[in-house]
Amino acid sequence: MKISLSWLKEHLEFNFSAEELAEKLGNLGFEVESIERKGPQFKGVFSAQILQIEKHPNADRLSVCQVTDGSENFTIVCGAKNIAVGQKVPLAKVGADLPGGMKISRSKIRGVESSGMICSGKELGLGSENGGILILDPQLDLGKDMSLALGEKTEILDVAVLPNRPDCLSHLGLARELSWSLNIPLKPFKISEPTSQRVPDWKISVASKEDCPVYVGRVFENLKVSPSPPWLVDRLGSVGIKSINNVVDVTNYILMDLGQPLHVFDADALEGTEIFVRRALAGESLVALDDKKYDLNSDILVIADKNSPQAIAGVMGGLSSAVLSKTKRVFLESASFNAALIRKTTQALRLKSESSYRFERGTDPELPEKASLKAAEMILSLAGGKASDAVSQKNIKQNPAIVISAAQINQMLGSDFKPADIKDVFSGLVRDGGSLKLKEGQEGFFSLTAPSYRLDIESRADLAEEAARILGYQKIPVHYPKISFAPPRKTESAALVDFLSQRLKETGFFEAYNYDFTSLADFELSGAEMIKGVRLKNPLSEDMTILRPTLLTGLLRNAQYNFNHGNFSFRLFEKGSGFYDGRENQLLSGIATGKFPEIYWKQERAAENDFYGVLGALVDSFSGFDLDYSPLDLGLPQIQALFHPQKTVEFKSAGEIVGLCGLLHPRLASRWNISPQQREGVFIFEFNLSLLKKSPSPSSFKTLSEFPLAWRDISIVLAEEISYSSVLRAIEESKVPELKRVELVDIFSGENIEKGFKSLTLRMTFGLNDRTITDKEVENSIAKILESFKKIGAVLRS
Amino acid sequence: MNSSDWEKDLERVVREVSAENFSAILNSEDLERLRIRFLGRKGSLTELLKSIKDLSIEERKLLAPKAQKIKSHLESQIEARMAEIEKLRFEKDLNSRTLDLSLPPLLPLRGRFHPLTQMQNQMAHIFGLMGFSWAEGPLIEDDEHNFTALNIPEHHSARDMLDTFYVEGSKVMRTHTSPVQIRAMRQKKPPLRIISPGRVFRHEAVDSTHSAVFHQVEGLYVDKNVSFADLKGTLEEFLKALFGPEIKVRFRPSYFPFTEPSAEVDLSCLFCSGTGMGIDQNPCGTCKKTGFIEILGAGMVHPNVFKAVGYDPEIWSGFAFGIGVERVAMLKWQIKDIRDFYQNDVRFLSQFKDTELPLFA
Repeated sequence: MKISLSWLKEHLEFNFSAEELAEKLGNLGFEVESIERKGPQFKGVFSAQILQIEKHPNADRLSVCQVTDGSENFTIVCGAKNIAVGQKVPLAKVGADLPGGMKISRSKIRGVESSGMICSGKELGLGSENGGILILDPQLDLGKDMSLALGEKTEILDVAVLPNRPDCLSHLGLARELSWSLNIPLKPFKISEPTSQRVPDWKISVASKEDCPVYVGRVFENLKVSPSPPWLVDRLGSVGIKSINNVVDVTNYILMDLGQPLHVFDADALEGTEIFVRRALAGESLVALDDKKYDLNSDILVIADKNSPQAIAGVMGGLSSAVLSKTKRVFLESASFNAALIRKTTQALRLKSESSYRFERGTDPELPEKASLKAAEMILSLAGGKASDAVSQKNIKQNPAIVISAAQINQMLGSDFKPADIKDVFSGLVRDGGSLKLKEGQEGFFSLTAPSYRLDIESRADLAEEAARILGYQKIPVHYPKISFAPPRKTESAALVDFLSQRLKETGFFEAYNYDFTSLADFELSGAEMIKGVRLKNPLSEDMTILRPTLLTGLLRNAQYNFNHGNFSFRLFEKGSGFYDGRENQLLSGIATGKFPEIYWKQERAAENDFYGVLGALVDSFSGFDLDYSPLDLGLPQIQALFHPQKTVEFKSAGEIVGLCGLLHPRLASRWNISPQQREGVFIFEFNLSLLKKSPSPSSFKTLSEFPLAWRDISIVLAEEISYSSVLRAIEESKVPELKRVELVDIFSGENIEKGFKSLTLRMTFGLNDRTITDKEVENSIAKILESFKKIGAVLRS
Repeated sequence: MNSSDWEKDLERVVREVSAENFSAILNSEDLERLRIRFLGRKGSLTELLKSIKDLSIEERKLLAPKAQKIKSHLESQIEARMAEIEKLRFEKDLNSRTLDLSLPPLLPLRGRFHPLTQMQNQMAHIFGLMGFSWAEGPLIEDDEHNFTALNIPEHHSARDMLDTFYVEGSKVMRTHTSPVQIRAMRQKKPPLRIISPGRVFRHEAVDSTHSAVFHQVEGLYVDKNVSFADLKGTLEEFLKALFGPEIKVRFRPSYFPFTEPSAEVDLSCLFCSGTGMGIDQNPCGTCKKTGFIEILGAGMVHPNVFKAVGYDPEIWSGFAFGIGVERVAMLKWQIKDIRDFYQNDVRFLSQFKDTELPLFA
């Protein structure tokens, strides 16, 4: 909210600067977001006219001007180019103060005496552009004090008032808060009952005191609606409110001054002389002041005449009863409405105003009468006419009394505040309403009823905060909680994610963070079914309309971004939630492409991100988790479409598919333009950790054999289509306990190998646990294995 | 063979041996060839020693020592030369620079955690040492956990502070990690000391300082007689652990619906050391001349929150706090645009080298 320093001073006498005020407000919990200077920051500048311009005798770039302020002539040396005889210009006379601490004195400029200065806009602090001398309106009278034409000099503070303190959404409110904390009395609030001739009052009928606890009406006749005087236009303008006319401006002035929203109706536009405060009926509608039609219903409170709604209560008036220049009779409303009801209305209608902003936070029920009186005083003085008495309906609930002791406050705060200091705080709080009772003969026991404008004080905790705020948070000492010896724990799922993230990091994966939102198009690309997705009701944009079922589409976008920025080699992983089929799954996903290092002078040392490299990183990362993988068969429906159907494996844990790893589907790679040239491709994986056993099995240890091992390289030839897993199975089925290890040394096809066949070289290592294995035993073992190879048509390579 | 022939042969071998210029032999292969010529299986000295068996015992007694002498002489010559050649070989290698030591080394393939993970881990570690356990909750929350139980009733203007994404089926994307407090308190009896790091969502336009998705580390401590002074102590120690012991901490009144009293916690500006002026004597751009920067929000748990989870506010008290991970990371690494965190440019990600010394046990 914008607060004008000079306006504030009408309620509170102080002489500290805007910056000091900002600090004091900050310490009370009202953050000042900006300070802006408004109005003239100069003195002694008058309108004058140029009579004559001559070249300076000693300087080419200067001229000597004769100017007049209407009664006296002055000789001024000037360096500007945009001046001409007859122009009206601002003249800073000798003794003038200009912004930035500049003071004008009589001076000789290159031998010619100058008795003042003709000013540019920048020199007067009006804008930053130096466009030469400020040329004034030719109609302007000579000798006018320029500062008066520019309105009041003040500083405008943009104050953040948090939702619990609606009572501070006005100049009076903040002045009251400062008065309390700084212990400076508020200036008395002067209003007098209008004494002019009275007009007959109207009837007010409030349907529900819950909806509208206070309603004060007042009728004005014979008004002259006209533009507001400059001071009022300036005041409202300084806090960001546009002037409309003298009557409407008074309501806005009271809003900003006292914090009471008011509304004025053109009484001649209303039917009858009774105002109804009631819920809208189904089918009713209203064209509001914003020229939009709103359909109303029984959840919306309206102000109506006998026929139809004329205003949406607490939010906005109707266009047809607006106060315009032709208006002669006015009905002034000053009321208090149910905060939740107004909030429901603003949300249902998507319509907000300065009034609704205050009503939905809560207004002081004691204020409407005072505000109506003050408004009447101002309207009568600005627009003439006569007014009725106030008619009011009131049902004000007292704030509850809260019983609290100084000891309780000190215990809550960990402070050592003196009962007398706390008593001072509370006395200050009830200075302008509410009450404080002390327990007879016992210091430090209080029963406090908060003033009517403090709707936020409901409990002892609220009073403890008030004491802390006024006495200062910095006065509360620092203390350390006792610590428990039970070591803190992570949750199992957080530990699992951290554990696997750490392992992926160790295998060269960089961690990525993406938004949880995705576009419908990306959602569909993944292969997920739309019916199982979770949509946002109020997305920020088209590309963030649905919650991601997979992290892979985000990672693919990252790959695309990196390709576009010249990064072709990377391993990225992400942990996060996937939303699908009514569940929030913990996912761990990744993408890898290119080689490491991308460029290296010993090219043979660079490692390629190929299928086996990425799979290896996963096998290593998930070691201990009892996972098996096999060629893609059933897959995971929400990500299936992203994977190459033949170059993908599925990981199973206890028979359930928990993840996929494979080559990005070539169709998507080309669609997203992430098909690397001369590379193995882009590999992706995703695991659903929610389906995974939470902890890996502990490492097991076997004593190492003391006896030497023997190894042999065996080359076999077999049909191309026989998989390596069949070879391993054949070895296993040969049941040779002496075989300790099998490693694949080489795969070869081509020269000397029949077409359609391949040669595998296997290194087999044999050993016994109780003695050294003999050559004979090794040969026998190999013979058994070769025998088993016959089942898959594999023969020893000759 | 008679003894004089044998002696003549020996003299010939001796002459041959002494004719050899050992210092001219420059490599071990030549030296080996020489050894084989004399001492190999068919070497001349070996043959001579074999044929000594044809002589009489007296002759053997007389001549054998001579042959042995020349043999051991030869052996020691070879051995000495071998040592010399070895030495020369090392010297040559040790004195020649054939390896360009300035070529780029091959760095091992190693990934990095995202800077936000690094920051969150640092925070969580410090809180762990202070005895805070972890708690978690879902990202899609219901109104009850995200608002009502946290003393933010429906139709209360405090909801304006939390721009919310709504999900089909009257659920919301959690706007803060505070619902985890509610879940934790409903699950466990007090005392309780937890942090809940995680992702939160705000329905606001994305720009250089606003992100619709961001991260918080939330903390909650409930026990008997917990006071605002305990909150000050805990957060001050935490911030000193995170930013260094020289920083200053300031508590200002604020408002959060779920805490009372509430506080905004400021840190002395990291860039101007709290002076408000930058090194160029211009106002510090980070703290805007104030010397302090907002770092987190905190407060004493509101009695209504305790009531909502079935804790008796007359017996239990506690404090809660929430820190924005992005904000702290941006301050720490001087990152100007919050969107950088979600772009995942590998050139960005590889800059965060996790170089914090693990100073805390």
